[in-house]
Amino acid sequence: MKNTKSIRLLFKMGLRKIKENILQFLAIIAIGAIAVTLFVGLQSNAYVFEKQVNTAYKDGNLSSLWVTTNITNNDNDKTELQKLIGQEDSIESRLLVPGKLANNNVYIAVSDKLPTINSPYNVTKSDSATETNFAYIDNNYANLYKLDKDFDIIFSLSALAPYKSYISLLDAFVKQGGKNVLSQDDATLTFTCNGHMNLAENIEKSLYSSSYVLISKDNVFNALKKLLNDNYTNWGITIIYQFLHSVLNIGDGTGNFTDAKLYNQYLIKLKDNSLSSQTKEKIRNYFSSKASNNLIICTTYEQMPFYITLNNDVTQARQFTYVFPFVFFLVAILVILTTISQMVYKERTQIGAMKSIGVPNYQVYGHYIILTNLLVFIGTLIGEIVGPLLIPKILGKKYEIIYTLPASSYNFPILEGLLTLVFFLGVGTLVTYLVTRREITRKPVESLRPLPPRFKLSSAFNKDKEKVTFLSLKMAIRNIRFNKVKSLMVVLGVLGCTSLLVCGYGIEDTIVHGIDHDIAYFNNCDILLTINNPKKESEIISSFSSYQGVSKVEPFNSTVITYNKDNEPGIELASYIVVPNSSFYKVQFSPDTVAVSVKQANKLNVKVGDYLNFTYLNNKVRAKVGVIYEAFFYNNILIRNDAPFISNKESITYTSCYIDSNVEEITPETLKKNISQGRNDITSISTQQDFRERINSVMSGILVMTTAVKVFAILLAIVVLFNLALMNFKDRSRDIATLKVLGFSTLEISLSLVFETMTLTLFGVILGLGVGYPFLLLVLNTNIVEIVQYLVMIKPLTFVISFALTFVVAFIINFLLSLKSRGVNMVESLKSVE
Amino acid sequence: MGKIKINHIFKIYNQGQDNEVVALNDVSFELDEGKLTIILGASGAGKSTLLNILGGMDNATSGEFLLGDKDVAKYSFKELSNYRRNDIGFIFQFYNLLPNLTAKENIDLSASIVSSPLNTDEVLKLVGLEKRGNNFPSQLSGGEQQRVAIARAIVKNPTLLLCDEPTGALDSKTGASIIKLLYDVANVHNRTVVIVTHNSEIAKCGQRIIRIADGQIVENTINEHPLDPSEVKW
Repeated sequence: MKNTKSIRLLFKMGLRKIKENILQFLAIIAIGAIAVTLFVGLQSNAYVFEKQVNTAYKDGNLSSLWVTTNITNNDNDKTELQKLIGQEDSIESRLLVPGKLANNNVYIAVSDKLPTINSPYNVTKSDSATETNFAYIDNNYANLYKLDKDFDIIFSLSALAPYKSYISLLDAFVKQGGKNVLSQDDATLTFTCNGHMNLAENIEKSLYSSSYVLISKDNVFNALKKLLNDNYTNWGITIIYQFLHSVLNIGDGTGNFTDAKLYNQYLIKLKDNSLSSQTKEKIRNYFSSKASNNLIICTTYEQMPFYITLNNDVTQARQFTYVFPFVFFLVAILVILTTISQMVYKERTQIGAMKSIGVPNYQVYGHYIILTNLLVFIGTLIGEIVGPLLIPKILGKKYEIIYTLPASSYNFPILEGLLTLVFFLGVGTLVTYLVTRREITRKPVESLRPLPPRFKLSSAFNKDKEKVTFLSLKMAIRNIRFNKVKSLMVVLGVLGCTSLLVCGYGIEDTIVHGIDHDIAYFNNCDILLTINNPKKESEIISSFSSYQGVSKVEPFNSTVITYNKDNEPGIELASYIVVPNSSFYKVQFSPDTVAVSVKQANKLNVKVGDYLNFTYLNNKVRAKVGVIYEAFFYNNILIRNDAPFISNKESITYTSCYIDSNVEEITPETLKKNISQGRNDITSISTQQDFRERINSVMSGILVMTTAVKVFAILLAIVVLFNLALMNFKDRSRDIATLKVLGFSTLEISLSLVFETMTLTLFGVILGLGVGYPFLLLVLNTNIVEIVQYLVMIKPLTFVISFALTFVVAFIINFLLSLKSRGVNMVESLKSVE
Repeated sequence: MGKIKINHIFKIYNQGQDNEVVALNDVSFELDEGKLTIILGASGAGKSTLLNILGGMDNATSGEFLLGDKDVAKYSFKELSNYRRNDIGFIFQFYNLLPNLTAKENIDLSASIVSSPLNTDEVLKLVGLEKRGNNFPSQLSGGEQQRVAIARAIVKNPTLLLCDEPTGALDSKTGASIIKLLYDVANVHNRTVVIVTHNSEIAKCGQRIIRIADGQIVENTINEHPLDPSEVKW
């Protein structure tokens, strides 16, 4: 009964202590809340984001494999592919062609029926939309260009080029007011939009990726019929139908296209996605075994650019939850340790008194442990409530800019939340136990006696003539030396904040440096474009040199080749076929070798001088690695088009080219506009600015996280420094009162107080700047992005900003708080017994 | 310096509330320049409150505190700070030395803020601590710490030296030496010294004795024959 009463009294004492030291304890609560908000919030964000992505993939029934072939007009390949997959797997065919909608490149996916693989979801459709009558535009694209009624799509007619001489005969059957539209380079078909949708493969809102339009086969042929009716006489139309039937095997020759088949892509949905690589191999074997291999590319979902980008962001969202909050946790623990140890130190006489009257040790331990854990519990609880509500909302806004995702829902990470609570309570208990143990194990008489300073005089500070500022500095330095543990904690806390800032800004620096590096070495041109029909070197040069302002055109080919080192398994890697001494790809290597980026060299486990085996244009090649080069985004293998191991050089065709322009004559933006407006064979076209935006988009996940971390680092700095300043202020209230009695002004006293904290801050900041770099390396190594290799770099300005931010925040907090010395009651402060 | 006059000073805590306390009730007296005045009273009599008001550490609720022709009771925060800096030397019962500064540095610190301080070394010698200047307060005995506190107060060359129970934490022998030191400061160095104490023996050394009880002055007498502290039986 007596024990219960003493526990009750100690608990009451604890509550009164909280009331007395409310600001100090609020700092503990705040630091706990900040750390937990960030950790649990980021965890929640990772769950919410992953759930949104999975929902989008599920709603859109994302394909497991994309099999792209030359255009075919039969179901033979589909039938054969069906045999390669399981009973519960499914396959659908479609025609995927580039086109232009609202003056932008888009992909037109034409299918017989509304697709069930890569199917539209979140659809808003009109009554006219049916399974076989649909023209759906992506929601974002439709909103952006106000596409909700009739819309025109420009298709390239390059496929009809071989029949140009026949088609010119149709001139005789052109209606009055019409024209021989089939003889043009492109044709415009008009459709009526009867639905807006989201599409899983169109999840990225990037400027670089083209949007998708889903159109039913019937709609396409109806639009074609209308185009023909508007321009040709009945005789002309009959001839065209006959031509389509007899030459291209499309339709029955009478204008009936019900059974027409026109496909170039098969979408395969596997019940078990883990079998996609295995199935892909079977598919490639099937096409290789055909007399005429019409396979262009077979891609698993994991190789699709949108999936890679999104997957990177999801992975980063998860990985970031561990790296940064770790530092916050560490700083939070330091703050708790510092505050509690100071409190125990100040109350050492009370502990001595409690012990001298016979209060059992466990009750004294319990008193402090309960007090700490009460504060930690409140902080953790606030963090666990605020984190999942706040962080996913903030980061979600950023994701919304980049991706089309379903609405997010609240998610509380139960396991992580509980583990955090247990962790913090455990740490709180341990820290308090260790801190209290030192005092409790002393004899009561020792606790009741003030501790003498544990340092000797330094001759450097023993000058005859001393000014007030020097004495203030001396007091500050001696305080630091006297309170070594507290000082160390403060230095570590500030170190944590500064290194977080260095790391946050360093990530941005690394990304900007990577982009600048790649632009300087691999993309130093005004325009980079890709075409949909491969051309010979001379053709591609002549094709683009004619545009006004173009000063140089250099073709290159981007392809995927399987490489292997000796008997190691093959790895598919992006490869560029480049011209010798390329102006744009500034990597020098001899023609009989290949150049490999650091990232790919690591994947292949090769070094300079090793040999790589691969097949290119039916040549079985064993080439030496001539150069391993650094790249941020352009992680490829380079092969020169004059390589001696390419026997049939004349068969090399190019799908991409770099273009340089005379800046005095034309801007890259105008040139890009001119080129894209004038032709329909462009798959993608980008300026350096587009490239920057593209990379920034790819890196957006990591950038979003670092912004959040920087904001929290500042908050952390504020709380840590506020806590320290407050603690210092309280510790020295007696000194402050004495100085006031002596007649020191508020400013003079403030300076004396600020000296100590600023000295510690300076140490912490300097160390933090040093620790920032290894910390950045750690963060980047745990956040590996598949498509980039970080070229780690921290700009001097980052150090300056990090230094200034922490230092200025520290100074403002300390100075404002030190001004409180004006309010110190001299009589009250000096009344108590020393 | 002009005369120091206290006229009808009141100090009321929690005025108008249930727990109102009248610490000083219509207190009036004058201090003699260059003399040792002892304010005597039991615990809770109001003597420390009076000393705090004299030292500019606290404000009177009403009344006048005249230093020459200036009313200190009406001083602003800044004026009070300057008053404490330039006119007052304060000595506490528990010394209140800055623990992280040595004895000499504590005195230096005080000297550094006034325009015409005394020589630190001479003051250290005066209080008999010329060999202990480099010791920290925790390395000094109570009596030595109090000597440092006295040195710190007198180095500023103040108009008024105020001492709050300066021997309260000391043994009788050390206490006597401290009183002797203060006695000399008043009589040899011609400083106005006020000692607040509950020890009536100390009062025998004072040239003026003001007895205070329940916040009121009950006796204000001039001691024509003050004893030398060494003659007092403690």
